Amino acid sequence: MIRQANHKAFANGIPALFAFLAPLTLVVASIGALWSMAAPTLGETSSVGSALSSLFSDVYVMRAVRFTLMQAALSAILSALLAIPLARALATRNFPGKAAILSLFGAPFILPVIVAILGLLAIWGKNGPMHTLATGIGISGFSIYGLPGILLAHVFFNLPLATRILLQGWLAIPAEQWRLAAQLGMSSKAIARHIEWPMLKERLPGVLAIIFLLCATSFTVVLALGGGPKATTIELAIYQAIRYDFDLERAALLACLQIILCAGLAVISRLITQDHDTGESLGGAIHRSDRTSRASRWVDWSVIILALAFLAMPLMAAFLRGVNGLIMNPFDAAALLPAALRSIAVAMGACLVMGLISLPLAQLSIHLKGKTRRLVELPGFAIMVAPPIALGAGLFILLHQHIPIDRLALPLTSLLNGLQAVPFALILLTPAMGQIKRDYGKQIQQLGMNSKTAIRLVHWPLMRKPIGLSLGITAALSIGDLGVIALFGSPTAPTLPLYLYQQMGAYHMDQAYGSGLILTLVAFAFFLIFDKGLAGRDKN
Amino acid sequence: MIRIDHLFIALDDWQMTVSLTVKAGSFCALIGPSGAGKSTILNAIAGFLPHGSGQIFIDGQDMAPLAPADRPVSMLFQDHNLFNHMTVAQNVALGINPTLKLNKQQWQKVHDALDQVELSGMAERLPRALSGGQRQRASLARAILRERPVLLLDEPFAALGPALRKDMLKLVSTLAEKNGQTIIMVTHHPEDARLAADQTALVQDGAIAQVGPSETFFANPTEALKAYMG
Repeated sequence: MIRQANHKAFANGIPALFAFLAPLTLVVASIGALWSMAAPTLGETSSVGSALSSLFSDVYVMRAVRFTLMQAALSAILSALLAIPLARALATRNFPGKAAILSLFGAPFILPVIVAILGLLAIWGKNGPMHTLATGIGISGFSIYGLPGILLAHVFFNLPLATRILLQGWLAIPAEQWRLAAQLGMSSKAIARHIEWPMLKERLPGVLAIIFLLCATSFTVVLALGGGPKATTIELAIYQAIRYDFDLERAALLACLQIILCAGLAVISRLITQDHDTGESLGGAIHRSDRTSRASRWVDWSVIILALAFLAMPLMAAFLRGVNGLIMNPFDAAALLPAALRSIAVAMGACLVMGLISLPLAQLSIHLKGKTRRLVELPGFAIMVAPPIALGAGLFILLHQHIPIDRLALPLTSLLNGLQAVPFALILLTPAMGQIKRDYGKQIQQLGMNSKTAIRLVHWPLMRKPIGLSLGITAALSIGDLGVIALFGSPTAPTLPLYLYQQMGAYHMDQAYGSGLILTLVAFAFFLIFDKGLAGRDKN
Repeated sequence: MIRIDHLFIALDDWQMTVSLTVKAGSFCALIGPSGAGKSTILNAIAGFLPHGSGQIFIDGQDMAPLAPADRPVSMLFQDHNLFNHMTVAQNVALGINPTLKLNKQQWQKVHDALDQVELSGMAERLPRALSGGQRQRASLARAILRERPVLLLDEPFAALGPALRKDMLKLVSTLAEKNGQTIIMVTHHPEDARLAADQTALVQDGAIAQVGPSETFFANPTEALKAYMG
């Protein structure tokens, strides 16, 4: 038997091995450090039962666990419930600008979280219009801090995601089914039962799972809007244990819990989430005969307008107050410029980490078949299981005795942000590489292109688009990061989000809005530089 | 001459054993139902499937140790023969040098090849600006430049209309005759075999059920061929 000429462009063994082992080693080392720190606090006895009982009797820990699960569950349910009528309305109605609005639904993904929170504060906060409205109609005591604010922010971030997934579901229902329903004279109720519910039943578990997972590890929202003893998540509690109390045992214990929780959630979500077409076909509208009445039109339009107001008002408020803040206050270049440069440096590092790990992994996965192929999912899974603050806590414990941590703040932030972007990048890169192999693999072999030539002539021109998008997302996420940097960063050398957070803490809100605008501009600029600049002129 | 000697291929739970001889400079058509293994034979000759030594010979040379690019073979597929992000000229030029570093004379050869397939004005276009027939003619131009003694056609004209398909077959036959190439073509259309092939083979269930000169092949059908032709 001859060896089949295997064409490997990006991965020639060593990069692939590195990409496979580096995330796993990091996560395993971090978990090891956490466990060796946490284990002694679980009592001298080695029995698991007594360890667990001592854990469950820790009020502080248990309160954080309970709150994490509760807010994540409520966030997931609220987002999904609100997404159902919104997706249905968007699927049924067509209007100019719909495509633009739907692509705007992807914006919360790259918008710095802390800026969105500033926007929500401007609308729902103490002097905001919604707060005034609520007081006006006799509802007093609404506060954006604590559980309501956390839910508000989580719905703000996840409603667009849930809506997009469900909208794809509605549009994926074959046109014949709607025609059949019209022919049979089915009522809205019958359509809901026979056509829409089967689709929802398939997609809702996945929607709930992913939002639950995102919210269970959400950090910045809880940092900014929660934080009291009643509204602390595990992720935030780890941060507080390290930064405020320097109680590393407690931090390690919490981080272990967080990792166990995430592992469970990731396995569950992998099991119940079905792979759907990731095609971005969100255009067009379905034709259904049951929702032509004036009343149903009114309902749909109200839903769409209310949702748009809910999503757009905070963004507009953040923008306007940002402009105002920049005009009214002297531009503090001495603080803003170094902070912005630090953020950009962190983002470039994160892009490097993401690229070094994602590209070889994507390449590896398309060359493997059957069971070994699932092995390649392992590094991505390890990253999902260890959220940044928990992973960071492990690295903190490993490193803090050997080196002053704030000297490593920026590289560590790069590393952890880059790792966080790997699962997203793999979703973009793996199918693109697979397609190149399917379409052109034989041509490349037949023509006798070597790796270098194949990369120059085939892989690079065809991959630059998904690579550009992955880098853009990585850069935007990492420029806006206020998780890892809060854990490791030094107050005297902040990144842009950390500087903004310091301004908020000092109640310099006008300046904070101004910094928020700059932060958003930097994040979007780098997203566009990579996404549009690198992707180049579209030849296809 | 192409000599396939008990070529054995096993893929998952499917397997085939095939022997076939095609004279140098002749045109052989493979017909048969989908999944019978027609394309598998071509993929094996081109080197895209692993096979043992002593099974495939071209002009007496054992193919087993040769990588696809080193075999005396050019293969045309149904689609994706052209890279969509490269111009027609670049795509054809890959046949001369896969790194696309060509000198002036070599570029002239590219344009000559495009002339031969009547695509003179299309050199700077992207493949998507061409019709299906034009795209396959461009692929043919590349095959001409590669100057390999064997041309394998894996239904490259299947998506074209009947008249266009006939024209393409004629073009391929003429060019092959001029360059002394041997052709093996997979097709779903028995009339293509009648029209262009010197020799026809019916592939069924991973084996050759009937083979012979095209005239006698269709004149004296076995039971298998009758069942296939309907």
